[in-house]
Amino acid sequence: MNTEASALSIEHLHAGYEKHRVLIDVNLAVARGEWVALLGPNASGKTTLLHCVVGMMAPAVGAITVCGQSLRSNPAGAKGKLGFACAPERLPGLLTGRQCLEIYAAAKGLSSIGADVLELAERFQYLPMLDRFVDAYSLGTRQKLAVLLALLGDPELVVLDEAFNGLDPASALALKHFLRERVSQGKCSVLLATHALDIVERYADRAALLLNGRIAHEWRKDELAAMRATSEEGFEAALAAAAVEAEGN
Amino acid sequence: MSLSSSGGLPGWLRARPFLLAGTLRWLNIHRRYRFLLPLGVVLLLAAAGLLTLPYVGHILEAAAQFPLTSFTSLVAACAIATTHRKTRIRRSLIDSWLAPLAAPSSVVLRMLLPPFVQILLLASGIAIPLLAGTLSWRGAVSLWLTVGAAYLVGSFIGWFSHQGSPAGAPAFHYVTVRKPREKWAQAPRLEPLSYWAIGQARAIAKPRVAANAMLLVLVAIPLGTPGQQAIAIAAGGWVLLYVASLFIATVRVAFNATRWLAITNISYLKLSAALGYRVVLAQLWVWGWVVFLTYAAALPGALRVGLPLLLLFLFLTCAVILAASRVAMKAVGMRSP
Repeated sequence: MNTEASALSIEHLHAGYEKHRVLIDVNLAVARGEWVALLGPNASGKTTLLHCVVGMMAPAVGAITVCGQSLRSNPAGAKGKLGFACAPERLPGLLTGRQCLEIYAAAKGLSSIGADVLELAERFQYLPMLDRFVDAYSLGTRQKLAVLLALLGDPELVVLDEAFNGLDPASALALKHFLRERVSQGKCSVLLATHALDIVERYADRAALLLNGRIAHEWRKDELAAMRATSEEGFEAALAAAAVEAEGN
Repeated sequence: MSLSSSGGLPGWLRARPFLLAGTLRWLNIHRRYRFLLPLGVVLLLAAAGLLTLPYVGHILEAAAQFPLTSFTSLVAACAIATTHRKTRIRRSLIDSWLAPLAAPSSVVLRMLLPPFVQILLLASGIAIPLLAGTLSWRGAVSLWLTVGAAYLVGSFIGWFSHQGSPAGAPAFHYVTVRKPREKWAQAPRLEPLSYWAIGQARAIAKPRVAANAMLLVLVAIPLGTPGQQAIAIAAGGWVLLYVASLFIATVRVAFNATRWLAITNISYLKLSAALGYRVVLAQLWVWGWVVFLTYAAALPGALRVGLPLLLLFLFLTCAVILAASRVAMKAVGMRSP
């Protein structure tokens, strides 16, 4: 695996909580300018994997490299390359949206908030909420703020954990287009954990199925395109078949 | 469009996201609840006024004459507070919204700032009666030294005696996994609520840390304090700490429980009973031992004063459980059917 060329490289990753093993020998790579969707049933280890990738959890064994920077030996360098949308309930209730954005921007050493992020905020219809306290936000509005924070500073790798949950259809569409455009222009790569199969079918370049802590199946871009063109039930049937096959093994 | 909302804050603070977020949160509390600042000033002035009373001076003078008791209580309190702070800060490095940032986490400053402010407040609290002439210089110096030494020792014990849960692990280590009732699905009851308050009390009191702090009192024996007295102080401190934790836990759990039970039709008395009966049983157990040991030590004077106080305390506990349930239910709009 060429760790320099890829936006993210995960090699032989094992992680868990005390005796409970959550991830077992996970290998995954995200190329620069690629959108990878991470699928899997609840409690399959998706969030744990993302937490390992963004340095919020230390793996027991294995190596993670973000844009050529090792998360173990150079965590600051690696974290500087990525943006992560935290869970909406983690956002601080007693700060306003503007303050959250400002803190994140200052911590990332930005002199200003990017015009594209402000434009996305406008498309989200988030701007009127900027000076309200976060604990007065609905789930969707919190999600919008979490996504905007993740996109601050043009990160080379955007890591999103079910970031479309709670978003209204118009905002979800705006975010999908925004990410697809940036990925296509090679400005960033995306690793998205999701249950929304339409995103996998229409927007992702590649998909990986995580089952019981292992990558059970991967679909390449051409396989996804072929499925879109031929299969009546599309990706849903393929996912179910892959899960059954993995359980059988 | 300007995004600046912290323009007046110094640059070094703006470069430290954890400290900046904490500062802005404090400023916002004032922004949102305008009455809090004047109320805080009034309370501080009232406290300062109370400290000038001769009666308070006598109490402080007595505390200065028996520094072991004040020292042990402060060490235990400081050790537990340090442990809580350490756990909170460790968790924030893992699951805070700021955790994924490649920015300073300001661990040292966040650990040292709260005890610094507390020491400053306690030192001022000792200085006021000294200036009012109700506390002697000797007493004040003794208390200042006790506070300083207790914070030093307490921070040390709190930092080293609790390793915390492994990175990323949920904080379940204080909750005992119990054997589920056989008919939990066929005949569900509110009983698990009663374990919640007990588990929460353990999490607040941090028994392992408190035990290490209480053991310190035994060091006083070779220094001349009678063994019975040292052990009595340690035991008394332990009991008070546990009972105080039960109080806090019950109130906290009442609010947490009603938040997710808000849409149910649970009655006020049923909720209070489910929340509180194990808390009352735990207190009865602890106070029972206290009475037995006092009787065994042949201290009839202590029993005469202590027994009515214990009964009063139990009554107070029941009152707190009932009041907490009532206020918590009201806060989420629950009505007893």
